[in-house]
Amino acid sequence: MNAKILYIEDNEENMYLVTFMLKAHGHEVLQAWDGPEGVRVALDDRPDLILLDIQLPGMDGYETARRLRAEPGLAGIPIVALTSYAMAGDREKAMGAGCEGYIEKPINPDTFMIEIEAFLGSAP
Amino acid sequence: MASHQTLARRLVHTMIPWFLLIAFGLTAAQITVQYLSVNGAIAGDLGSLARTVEPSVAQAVWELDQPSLDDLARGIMLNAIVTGVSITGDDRATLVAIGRLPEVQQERRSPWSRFAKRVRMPLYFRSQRGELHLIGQLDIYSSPEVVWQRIRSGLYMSLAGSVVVTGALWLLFFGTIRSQLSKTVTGVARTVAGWTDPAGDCAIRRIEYPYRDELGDLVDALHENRARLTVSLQDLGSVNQNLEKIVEARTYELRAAKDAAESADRLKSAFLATMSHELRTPLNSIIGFTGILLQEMVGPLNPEQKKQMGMVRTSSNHLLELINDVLDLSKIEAGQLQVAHEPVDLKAAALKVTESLRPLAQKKGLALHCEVPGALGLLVSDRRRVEQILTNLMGNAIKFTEKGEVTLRVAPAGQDMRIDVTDTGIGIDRADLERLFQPFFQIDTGLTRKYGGTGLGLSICKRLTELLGGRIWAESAPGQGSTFTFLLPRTEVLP
Repeated sequence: MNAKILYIEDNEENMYLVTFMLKAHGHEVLQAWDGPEGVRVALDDRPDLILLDIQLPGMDGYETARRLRAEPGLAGIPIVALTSYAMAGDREKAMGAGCEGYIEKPINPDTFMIEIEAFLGSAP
Repeated sequence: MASHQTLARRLVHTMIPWFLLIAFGLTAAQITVQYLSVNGAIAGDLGSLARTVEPSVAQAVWELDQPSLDDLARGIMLNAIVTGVSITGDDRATLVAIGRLPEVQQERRSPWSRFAKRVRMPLYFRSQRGELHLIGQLDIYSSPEVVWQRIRSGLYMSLAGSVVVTGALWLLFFGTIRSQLSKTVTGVARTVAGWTDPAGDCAIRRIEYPYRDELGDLVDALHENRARLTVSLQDLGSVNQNLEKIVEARTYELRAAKDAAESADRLKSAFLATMSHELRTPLNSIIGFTGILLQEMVGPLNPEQKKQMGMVRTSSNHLLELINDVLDLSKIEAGQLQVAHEPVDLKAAALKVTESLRPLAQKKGLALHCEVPGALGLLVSDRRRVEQILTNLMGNAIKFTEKGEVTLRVAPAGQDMRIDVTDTGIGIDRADLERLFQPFFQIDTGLTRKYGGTGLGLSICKRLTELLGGRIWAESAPGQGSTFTFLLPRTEVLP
């Protein structure tokens, strides 16, 4: 079950890490380095899943999630927040902005792919 | 002041009874004196009359001239003060009796009867040899009515005069008191009542009272008091102002301190959030890439590489634990950690934590037991935090136990749910039991070096337990294992 996954992330190492893991598991990865680029790529390529960092330069992850959710063409694509924010209420804020899931960084390399594929399974 | 009366009216009301008493007494005395004096005068008049008529009457009695006697008696009766005349002979035979006579008067028993006047004049005949022979007596009577008639007009005049004088005196007195006393006192009262403005001492009207008397003294005393009051009020005003300035200054300082504290608090929160993010982002790469390498997704590792990568993973996880614990503790201390109130299946949580730690226990060859009664029901608490406490206590138990077993027991205990974690480990000194729940206790004792861990777990457990409405304690003796117990309130156990 190969999927097309968009990862919006500004940190180079994290981008490389997640991209490597996803590709190693046979998925296609689309990379975007900030919010606006992420929205553009999503509209152009219609991924099966969007992984979204929250602390992005300029437009933050919450705003990016709202923009993505505002696009009728992207309805039904699950958005999973992938963030090192771990303060009280971060999860609720992400869910409120339109995310379906919330994975705390640092990721657990042993379970990360299982979590990701759970969201792929739930995609229509 | 019960009802509002004027001073003059009250004085007059007080004086009237006394005045009337004195007036009536004086009038009564006047009447008595007048009566007695008139009475005396009448007595004198009667005597004169008797002496005047005596020779003629004696002559008529001697001659037994009845018509003359009658005429004489009638003549006497013409006198206004005479009410009766009787002439008796030497044998006490009544010769003439006209008008009202004593027997009749005495029978009336009038209160005036004892004042009834009678003049008795003996009648003598002087013989040619010059001897006197008693031949009868003449009684001339008068009565109180006569006296009364005499004094009546005078009495009426006197009474009328009294009434007029009394009335005039009263009016004069009333008017004087009103104008001199009441008006002055009322004026003083109004002026004093107008002294309301405490600060505007210059606006105070002085009371105009030119006389040196008791009222003058009162006015002086009022002025003096007012002056003192003004000074006191000014003093009070300046003290107040000073106080206000001090309070203002203190308030300002406090507000500044509070603002500083609040902004420091906000900075701390922002710092915590930023640090959390900044520390986790690189840690994400470290843990991630270590995981990838250890999973040999990149390529096979030789045993030494695997061992060293494993050490990197252990250290990274420890660092992550430290970060999480420090952040947890900071959040709790800042009052920012909010616990959820959700239905918690304590049995499921206990089993889940036990299973997650089983590999660790097995690695050390320890037996891990979980003793939970069949039907515990649901507890209203915070599932994540309850699991965090359980994981911490059981993790510690496994860490500090070299052989034997670790047992988790859950059981209702009165109003609470009691959770015991018992191990057969190294145990804890009695002195250390007190300090066990303080942050970095392990670091103080050097345990961290041997056993690892952050040294924050138990203090986090303690604070979390308190946030969840429960409490936590430990019982132990060196070499005999330890039991960590925490209670959670089960008042909200759902059916």
